[in-house]
Amino acid sequence: MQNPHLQNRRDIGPVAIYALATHLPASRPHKSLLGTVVRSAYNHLYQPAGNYSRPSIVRRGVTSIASPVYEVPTAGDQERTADLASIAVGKLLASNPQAKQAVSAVFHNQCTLDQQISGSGCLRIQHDHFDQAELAMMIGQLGTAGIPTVFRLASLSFKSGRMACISASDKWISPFVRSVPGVLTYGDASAACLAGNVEAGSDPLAVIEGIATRCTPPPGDLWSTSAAVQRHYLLDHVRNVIEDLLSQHPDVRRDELLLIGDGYGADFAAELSASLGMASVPNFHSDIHLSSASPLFALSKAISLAAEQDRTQRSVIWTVSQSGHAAAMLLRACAGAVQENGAWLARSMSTS
Amino acid sequence: MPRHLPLADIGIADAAYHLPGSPIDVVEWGPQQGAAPDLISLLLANDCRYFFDDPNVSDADSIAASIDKLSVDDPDWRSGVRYLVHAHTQNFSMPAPPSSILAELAGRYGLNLKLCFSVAHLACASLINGISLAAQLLQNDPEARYALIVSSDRTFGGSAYRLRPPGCIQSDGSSAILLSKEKMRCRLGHATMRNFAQLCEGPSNPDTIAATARLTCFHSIQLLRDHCEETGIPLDGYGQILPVNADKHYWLKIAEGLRLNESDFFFDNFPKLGHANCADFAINLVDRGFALLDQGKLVLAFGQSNVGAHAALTLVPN
Repeated sequence: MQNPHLQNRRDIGPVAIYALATHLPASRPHKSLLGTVVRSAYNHLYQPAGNYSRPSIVRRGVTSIASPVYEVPTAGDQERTADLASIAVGKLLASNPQAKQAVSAVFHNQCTLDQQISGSGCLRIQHDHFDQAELAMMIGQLGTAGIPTVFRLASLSFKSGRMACISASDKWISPFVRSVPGVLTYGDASAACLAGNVEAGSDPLAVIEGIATRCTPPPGDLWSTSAAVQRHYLLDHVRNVIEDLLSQHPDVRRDELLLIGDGYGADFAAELSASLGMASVPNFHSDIHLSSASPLFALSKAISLAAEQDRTQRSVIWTVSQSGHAAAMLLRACAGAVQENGAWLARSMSTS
Repeated sequence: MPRHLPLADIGIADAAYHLPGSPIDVVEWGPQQGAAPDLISLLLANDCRYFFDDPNVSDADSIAASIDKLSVDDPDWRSGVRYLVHAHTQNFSMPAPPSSILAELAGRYGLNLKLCFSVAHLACASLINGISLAAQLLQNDPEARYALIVSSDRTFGGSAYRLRPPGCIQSDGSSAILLSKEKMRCRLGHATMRNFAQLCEGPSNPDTIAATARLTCFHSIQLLRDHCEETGIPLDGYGQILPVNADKHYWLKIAEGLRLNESDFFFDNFPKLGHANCADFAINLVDRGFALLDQGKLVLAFGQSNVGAHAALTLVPN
């Protein structure tokens, strides 16, 4: 049967970013490798069915594993992943509340579990900010490397003159593992942006010109595989996905590109940079992984560099997760971004 | 005459489901778990009885059991899968973050994927949202042949979580659905998704439980009317509507509100299987939908939730 009603078939095109905001809770000290202990959360994980949903190294009843003290951005005990996401979206809209009406889809991304287990993060964002949105979803199971995939999915629903709100948030609660010594330490964080088609006459903050994603299963259990093996795997994995991206854009000169990615530490970034022959710029924290929001923090960094230098800057935003997922985005950050109330706005969205 | 079926060049090559172990009878199980006799009577009165539960099976193993049951007229279909989409209702039902069930399945089956992702936080409407995205990705990719949609839900907690009065017993279960551009058992037609976000907190306190009970039927009715409008297919033009296998009292109210008969809905699985969340789509398609489609009848699959998300998908005979 030939369907006569097919319309608008197209390849997935570039993605324009029109506004972006990030949120980091205050840093707090920790002396456990596991996440924050929230007494009322996750009790179900200690039932028999939870054996398949707890980290393999955490036995029933264990809520902490001793560690030297470290500090990372940490959400309040009662602050939920949905709260963190809603704060970032609120910052995004503080200076341009009229943008709400243009948002037709909400895509939220997280890899951790909200402590109010019955609730919906994507619908909370819709309820708080975008009642008129036609579509809302939480996209998950991509470790902390989900945001580039979310951009690909959101672009399926882009409509002329309308935007999608794309957000990410994570909060690490025990028995999930906040710190894997020698590999990474996760901070609680959230971020959000408004994205859409590249419209004629619009002046986006940045344009994602290409996205590459890869799924390569990890070499073993995430918490007991040695740090050296995991680090080698992560470096290889992210290098491969960046090479995939660059091979899709043979016109791009590597020496014009900056690498901005997840907080696996300065050594990791330096090794990646050297092996690819590209300069590297640290994300907001070079040695704290800002979880699912990390790629949006990297976007924010690229936008701020273009604004400081008042010129277009191309970069490769990379993200790689212990989970097996990695992605890279070719980004063109445009000059002239405006910062208002903690959010980056395209000039067309600025009130000043 | 249907006027807009934008997904109709994509179809379902096959679907399968897996329910662990043997059916458990709530009449025997309930008292052992300390469930009140009145509660069990209420569930029985609302057409609930048997369900499935096995805490010793992981989500990935459960999904693999469904994938292995798929019967596709192409021995190399696994090598043609470019998109892997997972959906789930039970939020705990996944490996510990940041682990990925997608990576686990990709490794297990040696899949060569272009994109994979999971749709969640829309409870049992997540699956149709995932099918809609997967179908669009296939449509946009001339080289891709298949997209594999999977789900797994395991209910955590004892009887307080498994038994949802007045009309739901939750089952553990998984499903697999292979979307294809050729050799399909039926075609997709059109998906309608609506989210009524005021219910975003889910059944987390007495107020939200009461709001969900008050509003869910109206939201489902609105969604079905919208779907009717968007497709041009009247609700009595379907062979049957496949609901999720829970809350028969809602469906009877929905039938009344839409002037449909009880026989317009497929209720046979409610007492036999319980509500296996996202897997109900494949369960009802395999147990009833494919037979109706083979007879040349249209089928409407429905995804309902307790967070305000609703979804409907028209399936078209090939």
